[in-house]
Amino acid sequence: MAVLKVDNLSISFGGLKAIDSLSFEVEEKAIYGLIGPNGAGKTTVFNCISRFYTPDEGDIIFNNDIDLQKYRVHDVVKVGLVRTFQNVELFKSMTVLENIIIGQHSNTKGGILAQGLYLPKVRKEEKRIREKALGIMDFLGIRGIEHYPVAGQPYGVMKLIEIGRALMTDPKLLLLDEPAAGMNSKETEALTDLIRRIRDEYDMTIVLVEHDMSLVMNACERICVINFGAKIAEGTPAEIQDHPGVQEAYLGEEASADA
Amino acid sequence: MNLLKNKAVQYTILAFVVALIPLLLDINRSTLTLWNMVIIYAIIAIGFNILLGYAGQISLGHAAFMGLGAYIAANLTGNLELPFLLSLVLSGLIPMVIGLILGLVALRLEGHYLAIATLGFGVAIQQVFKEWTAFTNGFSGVRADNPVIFGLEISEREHYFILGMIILLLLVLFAHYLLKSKTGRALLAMRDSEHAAQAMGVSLFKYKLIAFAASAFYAGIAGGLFMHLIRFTEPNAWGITLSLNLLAMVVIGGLATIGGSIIGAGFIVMVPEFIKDIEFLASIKSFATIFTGFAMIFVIMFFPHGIARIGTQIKIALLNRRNSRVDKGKGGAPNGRSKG
Repeated sequence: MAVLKVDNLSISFGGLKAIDSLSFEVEEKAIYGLIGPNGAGKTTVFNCISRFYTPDEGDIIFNNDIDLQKYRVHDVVKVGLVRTFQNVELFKSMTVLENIIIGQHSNTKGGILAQGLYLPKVRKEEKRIREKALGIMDFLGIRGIEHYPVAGQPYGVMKLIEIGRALMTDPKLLLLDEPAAGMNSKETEALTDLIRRIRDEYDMTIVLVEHDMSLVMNACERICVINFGAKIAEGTPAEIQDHPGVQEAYLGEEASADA
Repeated sequence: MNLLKNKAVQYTILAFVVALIPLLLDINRSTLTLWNMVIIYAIIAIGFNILLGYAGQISLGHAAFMGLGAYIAANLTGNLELPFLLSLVLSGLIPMVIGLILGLVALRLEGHYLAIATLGFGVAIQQVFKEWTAFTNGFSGVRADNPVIFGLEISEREHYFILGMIILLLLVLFAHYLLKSKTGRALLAMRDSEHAAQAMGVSLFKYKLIAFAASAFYAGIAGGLFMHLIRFTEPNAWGITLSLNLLAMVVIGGLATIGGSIIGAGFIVMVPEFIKDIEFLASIKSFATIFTGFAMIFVIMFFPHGIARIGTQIKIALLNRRNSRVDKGKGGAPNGRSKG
């Protein structure tokens, strides 16, 4: 069953086609990679799926029957779709725990008056989401820093906090935008493990955009390669590595001249 | 003992202790008027801090909401003869509705443009105060009576101080709880990163409106209390000077802190009075305004988190210095925690 179906997606910015009739499907519980050279349009695809952009053409169907284009950007999280950002977008003035707790925003009960009066149900909710967040921090191995401001954390930890915040939304589909950016090879290895563990233990589908080939080849089961907004190849990591079009796209004319 | 660590309990105890001071000590009427003004400005500053400090939205027209609250209170108790407390609530609720409208404008504008638009809003409302004589009596101004609560007339400043303190406490507690739960997190998230906030399900539409509405409500209540304390008002009181003073209170006291709002209000109200007592400073024209301006620059440069957080700021600076030494001692690996 396809959890995410992108069909004939196109978007232009000022006459420049950023995505050109792109179609792909992501199966349930898959780890799916979206790769391509710089400026290929990978993040633009994410922005369309997560509703930051409205595509000119095409459909994005989530969970078989949810037409994502009918949802506003802050509503997609309610249907079970969440994303991270390329350059960590955390809430800098808040603590680590508060950052993660925000993930439950849509599921936190209690109106304005109830919150201002701090009624028992609000108290109970606060306790519930706090414990849930601490559980996620345990899972990510970042327990102990919950009351520190997020601003002073090392980059690798910030990336984990952002993933934690995404997990807090109870997603069915997690979109990771360059999770390995700025990490060394050892950290990337740990991240590969983590991505698999998230899929297995939280029972979700993961789509990731990534430049780091070791992560993509080790973690992903299927890969879609795009260049200039159009799909040039799709398949298993082994198939992609052998694909001539992919090598050309990455290495440019030099490679084709050598060949 | 644990109860004393609860911030709400601390606020409550502090409010009761301070409220009783004027009853125990012999303080003259004009000083008590000032103390009452501190309470009133603290109320509007807390609301303004929800807007500026938490939601990150600027407004240079909030004096209009306070003025509106004042005129509404005067009209409701004077012409319509409504009871004081009901009129006070309405003098908060009606500006709140108008605040929602200003919030709709804020959805379209950011930063400088929002500042200019709200400034225009403030000027326009002040003009309405001048022209709509049926409501405001123009430059002749309106008067109000001493508040009467359940048949009890409050004519002494000491008693008004207690009344103001109770209202301030209620509004402080409401803001405290609101800001430490879902709404507060959503507002801060929106301020820090609109994109990430949206991705987490925070509706910018909803929370910008909430911030404007809440700040207008607090401003209106402050206006209503002002009206019954001073018992006279005219349009010139509700201009840009007050809006800028409000900005100074929140910035000097501390953005995104309730305590800071109160400290800032105290600062802006009391400093001109202290300066009046120092003869050579008092001889300089508008020295208080000049001083406020410099204080604001000084605070922004050296204590960007405001007076309320100076202690925390120093503590964090010391902690960071110690941590960086410890890290060096361990021989690096700052990412050691990241391995799950």
